[in-house]
Amino acid sequence: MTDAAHALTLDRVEKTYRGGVRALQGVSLKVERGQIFGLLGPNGAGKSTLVKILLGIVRPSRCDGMMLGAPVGDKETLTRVGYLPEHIRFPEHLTGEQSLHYVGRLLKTPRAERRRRADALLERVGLSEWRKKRVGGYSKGMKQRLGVAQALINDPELVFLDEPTDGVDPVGRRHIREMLLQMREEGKTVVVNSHLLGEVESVTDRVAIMVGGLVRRFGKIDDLAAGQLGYQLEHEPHGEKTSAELVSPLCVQTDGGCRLKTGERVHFERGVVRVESSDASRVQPVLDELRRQGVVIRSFRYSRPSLEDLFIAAVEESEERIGGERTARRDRRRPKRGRG
Amino acid sequence: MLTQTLALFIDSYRELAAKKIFWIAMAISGVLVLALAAVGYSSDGNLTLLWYETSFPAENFAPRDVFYKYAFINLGLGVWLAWGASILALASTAGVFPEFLAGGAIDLALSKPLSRTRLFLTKFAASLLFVALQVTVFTALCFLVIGVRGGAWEPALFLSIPVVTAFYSFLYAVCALLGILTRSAITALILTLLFWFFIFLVHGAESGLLTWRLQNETRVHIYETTIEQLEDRVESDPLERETTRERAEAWNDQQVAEARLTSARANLESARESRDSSVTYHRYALAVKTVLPKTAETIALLERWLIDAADLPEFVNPDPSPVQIEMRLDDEGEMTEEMREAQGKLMQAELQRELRSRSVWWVLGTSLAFEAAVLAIAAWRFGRRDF
Repeated sequence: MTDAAHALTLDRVEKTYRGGVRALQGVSLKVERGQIFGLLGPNGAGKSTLVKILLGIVRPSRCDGMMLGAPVGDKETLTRVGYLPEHIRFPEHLTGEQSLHYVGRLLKTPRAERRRRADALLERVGLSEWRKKRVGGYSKGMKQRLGVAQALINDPELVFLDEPTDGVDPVGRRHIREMLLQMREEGKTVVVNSHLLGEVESVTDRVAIMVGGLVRRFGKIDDLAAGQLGYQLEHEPHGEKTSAELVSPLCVQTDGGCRLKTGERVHFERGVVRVESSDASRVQPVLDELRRQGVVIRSFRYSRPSLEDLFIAAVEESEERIGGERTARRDRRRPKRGRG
Repeated sequence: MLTQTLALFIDSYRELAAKKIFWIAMAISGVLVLALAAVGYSSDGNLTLLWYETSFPAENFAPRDVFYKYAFINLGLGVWLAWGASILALASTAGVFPEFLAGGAIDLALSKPLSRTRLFLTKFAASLLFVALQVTVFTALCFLVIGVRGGAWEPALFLSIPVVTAFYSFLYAVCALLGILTRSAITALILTLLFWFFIFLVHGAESGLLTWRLQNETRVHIYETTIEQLEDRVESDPLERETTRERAEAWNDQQVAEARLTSARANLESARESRDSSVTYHRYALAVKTVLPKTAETIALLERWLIDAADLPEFVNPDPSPVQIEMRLDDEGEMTEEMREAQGKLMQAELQRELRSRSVWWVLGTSLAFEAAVLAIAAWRFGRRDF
């Protein structure tokens, strides 16, 4: 199951809390080394539970998996792992510098390395001048930056960041994004758990979208968006004709809907024509046809669904599926009438 | 491994040092040591306060070194550290586990390469620092005062550090368990104080029943002696007397003794029943006390180790031997004044002997067993919980 290329391989991780709440219903995923991996999902999707299981904070109901070449749950492996919990709380009586040393000691980081890295990290997160001040006096953003610093005190191979930009101002957020990229350059594997999809999108190599304790989408963002990439053309209304009717001379109807004669699928919405193709030359005939009919073109652009679009689609799809399953279960339970 | 333990201890010390209550307790300790140092003996053996000599003959009350040791143990440790400082320590450290378990804080600790059991036990041990540091400083200062002012350089005083820390750990184990179960500092504190009060009640009940038992045993002894003497009087033959008058007096005495013998036997029966009841009740109370931590006895161990029973002040451990105790009732069937006095002293001495005879194993061993059981439950709960 383990291999050198992956920092993390998980197979059907399950967690049912007391009271019967099924937080994870069999999560399987792989995270390649040296990548920034986005773990996304709405509240209650099970993202934090999954990360906490990997770090020994929550006990799994079932967990087969390897982390950095050792079985998940191996305590010694944690010396090579960094973690920023959501809503991190440092002991408020410690200074920023003492906090880093406290975490470093718990991680068994040698003193000399701890000192060297504490200095460098405080500098890196912009807290050098606050190093001797108690954490109790820090702002939320400063605590979060200190949290990122403590996650790196042991020079980890694998870093889990749970909502790293929570409470951080825009400048700080950009700073943290840069740090994420720097971590990747250093060869670290970073798992980012965040609600801020735009930020994740700009730095992650791969994502997993979790809904209801399951991974619903997994892969590179471009791969997840495959089939939804293409050119989008927006036009003014043209008499009584719909977009489909306007483009119909170029289309052939297939089981999968409308396609251009060159094979590209075409989707229509009110006043919008979208052609699934990354080759602009394939879309020119559509433009020519519309112009030939005197249709006014408002815009023409290459469109790619955002991570948010993918996220919303995954959530909606999951909700529909869950709703469908419930209806089916209810129907099965309902006594059939008219018999006997 | 040591680095992690050290990290938790250093963190606990810093947490203490950041709390005003810790320094307030330290200041109170300092004031008490100064007060102890201010009390002294004049060359005539009278009590002195700073430079003022009183007319109180302190030397008659207790020798100089015993006075200081007795004050150190019973006032310094028994009252201040075992009550005042311990309540302050509980108030100060009741929040350690609830705060430690709060989201964002516990995640940070549990995601590190150390087992939950070790994390819990180290955190628990580190939380005892409050009392350990207080008692260390207080004892060190008292050691100097007793040495300089009392003329007794007694390294055994430092036994108070493990003893008082152990005493506090019995209570803090309960506080830690409650903190883990309720995650509320105030609830943990209040319930721990109630538990402490319960121990105090059990201790009071056991002591009271022990006194009652000793009283009954003494009564039985007195009645038995009285009956023995009355039987001798009844069995004596008046005809053996030489004169008629003596024979008449002896005969009268025989009649009185016979009459009193009946009531004395009835009283003995009643005293025996009472003794048997007191023995049973005391046994129950002792059984309950055995499974609970023995806070008062733990502190009293120091007195046992540091002061010889013979050196204890008269009111604590009286010597009944100077009083000639005639163990019988007077002709009215009542105790004489001398007997009452003697019985009181005998009771106190017997109580002291009984308390001092309780083994260290019973005092510390059963208390530590209780603590271990509570810690095992707390560690189990801490280890099984999802955070």
